[in-house]
Amino acid sequence: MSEDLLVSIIRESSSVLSDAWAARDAGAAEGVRIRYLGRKGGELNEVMRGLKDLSSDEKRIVGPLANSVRAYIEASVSAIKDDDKDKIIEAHRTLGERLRGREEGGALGEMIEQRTSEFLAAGEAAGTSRSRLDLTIPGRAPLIGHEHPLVQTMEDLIEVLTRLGYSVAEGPEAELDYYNFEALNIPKDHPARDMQDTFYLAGDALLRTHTSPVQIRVMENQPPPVKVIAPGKVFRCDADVTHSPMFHQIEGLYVDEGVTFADLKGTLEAFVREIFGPEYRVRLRPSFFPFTEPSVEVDIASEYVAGGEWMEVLGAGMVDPAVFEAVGYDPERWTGFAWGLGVERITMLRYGISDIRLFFENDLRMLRQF
Amino acid sequence: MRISLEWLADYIDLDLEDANLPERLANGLLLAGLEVEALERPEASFDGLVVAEVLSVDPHPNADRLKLCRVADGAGERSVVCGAPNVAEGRRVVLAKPGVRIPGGIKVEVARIRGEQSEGMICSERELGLGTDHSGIMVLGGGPDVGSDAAELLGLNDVIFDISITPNRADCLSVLGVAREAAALLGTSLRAPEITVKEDESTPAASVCAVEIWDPDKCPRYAARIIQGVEIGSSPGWMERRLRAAGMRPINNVVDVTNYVMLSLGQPLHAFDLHRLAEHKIIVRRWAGSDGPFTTLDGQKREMDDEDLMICDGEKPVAIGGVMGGLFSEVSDDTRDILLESAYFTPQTIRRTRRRLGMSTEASYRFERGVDPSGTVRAADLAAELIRQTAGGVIARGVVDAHPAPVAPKQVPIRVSRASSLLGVPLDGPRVKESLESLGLLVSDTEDGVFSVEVPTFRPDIEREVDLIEEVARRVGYENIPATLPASGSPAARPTRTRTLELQARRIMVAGGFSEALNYSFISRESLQSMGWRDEQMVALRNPLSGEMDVLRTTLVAGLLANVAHNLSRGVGEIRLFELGRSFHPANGEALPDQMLRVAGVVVGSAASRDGVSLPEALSEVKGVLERFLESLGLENLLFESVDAAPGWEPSAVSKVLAGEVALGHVGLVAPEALVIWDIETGVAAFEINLAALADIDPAPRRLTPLPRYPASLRDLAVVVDAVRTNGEIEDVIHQAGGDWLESVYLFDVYQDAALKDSGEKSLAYSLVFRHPEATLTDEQVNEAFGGIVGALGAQLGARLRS
Repeated sequence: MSEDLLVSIIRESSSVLSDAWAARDAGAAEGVRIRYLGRKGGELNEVMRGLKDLSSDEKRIVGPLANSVRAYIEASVSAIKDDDKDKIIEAHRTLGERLRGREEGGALGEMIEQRTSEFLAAGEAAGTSRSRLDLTIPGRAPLIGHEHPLVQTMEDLIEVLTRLGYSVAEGPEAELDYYNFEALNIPKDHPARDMQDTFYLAGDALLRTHTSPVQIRVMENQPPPVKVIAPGKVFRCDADVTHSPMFHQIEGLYVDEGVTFADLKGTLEAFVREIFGPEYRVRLRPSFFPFTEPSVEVDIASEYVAGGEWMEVLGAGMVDPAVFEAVGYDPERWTGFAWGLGVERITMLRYGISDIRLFFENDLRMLRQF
Repeated sequence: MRISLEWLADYIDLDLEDANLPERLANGLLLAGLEVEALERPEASFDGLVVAEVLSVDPHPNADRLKLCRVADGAGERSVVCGAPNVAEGRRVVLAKPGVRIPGGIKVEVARIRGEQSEGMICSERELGLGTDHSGIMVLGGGPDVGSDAAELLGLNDVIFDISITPNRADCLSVLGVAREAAALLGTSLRAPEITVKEDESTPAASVCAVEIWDPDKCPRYAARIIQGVEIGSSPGWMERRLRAAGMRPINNVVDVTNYVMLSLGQPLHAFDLHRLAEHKIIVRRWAGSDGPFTTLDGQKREMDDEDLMICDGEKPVAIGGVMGGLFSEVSDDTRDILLESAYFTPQTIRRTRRRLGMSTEASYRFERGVDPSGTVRAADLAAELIRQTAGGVIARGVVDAHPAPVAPKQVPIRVSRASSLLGVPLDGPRVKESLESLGLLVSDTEDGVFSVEVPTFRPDIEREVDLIEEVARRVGYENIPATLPASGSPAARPTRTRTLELQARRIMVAGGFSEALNYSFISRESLQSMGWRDEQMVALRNPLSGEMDVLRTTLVAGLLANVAHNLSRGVGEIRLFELGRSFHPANGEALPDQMLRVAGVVVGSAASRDGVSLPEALSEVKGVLERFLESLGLENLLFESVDAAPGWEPSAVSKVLAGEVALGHVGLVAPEALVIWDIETGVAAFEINLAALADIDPAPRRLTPLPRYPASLRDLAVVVDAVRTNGEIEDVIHQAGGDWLESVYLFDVYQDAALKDSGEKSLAYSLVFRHPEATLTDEQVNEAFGGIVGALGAQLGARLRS
């Protein structure tokens, strides 16, 4: 009967094909093709030709099965010729699915699955089959630029502070002595001038030693309330591994009615946790800046960083009444706080950079890491 | 300021046995604003370090440089091998007995050294961790008892607080001042020093010397004491120990006392050899031209000016007031009689002089921050008495105290309500009063909720209510003030136009493959000169760190070239850098220079480099990214106009960039002279644009251009023109002649073969797009427009079609 014949063709052909695969023997595979599908006397062709003599019921069963077997042999032979493991597995899988649900299909299916795994094993043993695309090769990199790490930190800080309602203000880098010192309650003969070694230009001009003069310029130009930050470059005559003659600060200023030291504390704590993470502890301790009173130094610590040591990150305080007087604000009515932080220091903590000079060499090997 | 715990205990009750005390005190001081930077405590106990006396010194039989010593250690005698040149019979030394681990870390054992038994070690300063001196053994002055505990004598068991004192807290530049803070912290009371001076009633000091202050503005008070018949020698061990603990080197008993009292009370003192003072007289006056240069005790000859305050004798200056004594009147080994100075100089005076001289001393450091004007006589008394005790002699009766301008304590009011509202923490009267009193301020009630506070003269930093509120805050403790968030105000304002431009420029540059550089705002004058900038176009620094950074930059390109050089020298390829920052230019008649926000970009062009681009490609790339940036701003009528010269640019390869009438900057190749100075051997293409100028141009509003509904007709046009013609000229003619339906013109080729070169011509090829918004153009329509273009090019530019 034709169906039994087909089953035996499957058994025999798959057995020979299996050996041919294992041996990568394209000749043997071709032999299978000629034996079953050859134009002259191909056994499967004979079955196909005999279909017309079958009853319509038998045709419905034998016809599709014969086609499946033909497809299976063709695919397998070509897989062996191409040394394509995926293809031979696919051919077996397809045939397995066609056989499923047939009376004898269970056993045949099992046999075919068995063959499938034999092919797999044989393929491995014989070495590589046709390889997949090697996606471990790096993709082609489009040339993109990198923002400077200090700018990235600065923009991150600005983003956090803008969310807290601070507007960005700017002031000149070459600044007048009045704005950098006098109006900030640092008169000419004050020892606090030694805290900041200053670069002087002609006349009363100098390079600002901090971003605090922006406070004065902003307050001179607008009535309270004021809520601004001033990011920018500042300059001090100092240069070593941790000091650069130019560095970056962000200044914050908040002036309104009823602003308290407790508000300063709350704001700094919120700000520090926002930037560094909620695991950081914040410590405020008394310090001295001529333009704030009381003045504060802010330390932060995390058990995961520097062995839990406290690290100084910013200076702050309540705006000194003398500063309000300099800009014509009534210190009895308005109170406020200000703070300033060093962007380099925070960036160094963030990325584990120990030499501040690296920021200004602009070595592309460094910039491209950020 | 280095403060010894044991010394601190002179002024407050401290339980020195309490092992947690140093830690607790350090933390308390820190949280009170006295930043303890280091806490130095003994690492081990030093049982077995004893005072010994050298009995005999004999040569070592087997080593030229070693000696065999017999020493008495109080319990007996022992042999010690010692190599120090200064070991000598009769000297009191520090002996480390076997088993002790000395501060330097070495464990001392009984040893045979070159065959001789050594039962201990005689220590040097360095081995004891007291200093760096290792030239010989440490010789103990003041005759300490043999066998006594040397660790105790040298203060090796002491705890040292290294405290960074902020400029406002001059009062804490002394042990007494720190003790006052510690007393407030620990809730104990301060023990002010009680001084009894044993004077010689028969000799009034005023009969020995006289003091005149000619400039009371600079010196409101000058007190002098006379001690006669002293014998200069070394100080007692306890005093040397305390000086060392504070980081000072013992010198002799008189100088040591002046330093000791300064460290104790904060009042700098100076001892003169009385007989070196002409007429035994002190005159405090300004320097006069006839005085000439002054030689200070460090041997330096110093030029003075007439704002400097000099301490003079009857004839000449003998010291720079409050800064440094003179060489001539210094106490020497032969000094017998002493005039001791304890004065108050105004801070501004001292600051001015010491800054002008570029020096700082322990004395000037304190005077310029403000010493206690009421403490002069107390310090003179303590010092005189200590000199008498340690150097002998007799103290003449009384203080010659010139006091023309007394400084009275200030009265400052404080409102309890203001303290509460500023700090944001509820406070009541008793809390405020108690806080201030604990710091030695005198508080008296005047009316409801307002205290009048008398501020003692040792706290010159407290002048206003807010200063008192800070003191209250310190005493309450910042850690005890709640953390609140202020009520949210109005939303943040929109970024300024300049900041928007900056962000946009950064975005486009980074997207275009340029990495961001940040350079100093200053650069070398030489590098700007090499670009053709003239000195009068630059802003100079008066006190540059070095010649590498002596002027403010006039262009960002200079710094970028330095970065290019850095990267090239390290073999980094694909160099594309940009910077956003300010340039500085002298502004006539203005106090401040012009400061312009700019953006600049550079691309290194090089045929040789492995992954490099050619110079024309580099130029095309910088110009391309610049165009993308300017287009992104919606700028219309961008022009690239050739200019003959601009600082730093190659004259034949630079264009001025304009938006209509507004000059924005330049694009082109960097001049070779500007590259040489950085040793750059490749070409560099660059642009630089003034963002401030851009900020003044209102961008065109952004509107969608409807997508075309009718197909376009394309025509290619290749023309041959005279080589001097520019693409800009040709495009202008094409646009003028192209009619309403010419949609776009795109240059796709510039070509010059040998034949064209010979004829002085070049060929340019364009792709033209024609489109009608509401119809499909016919071939006839397009041909007519194309013909018009060709005709106009021929007529206006002498162009012919390329065959």
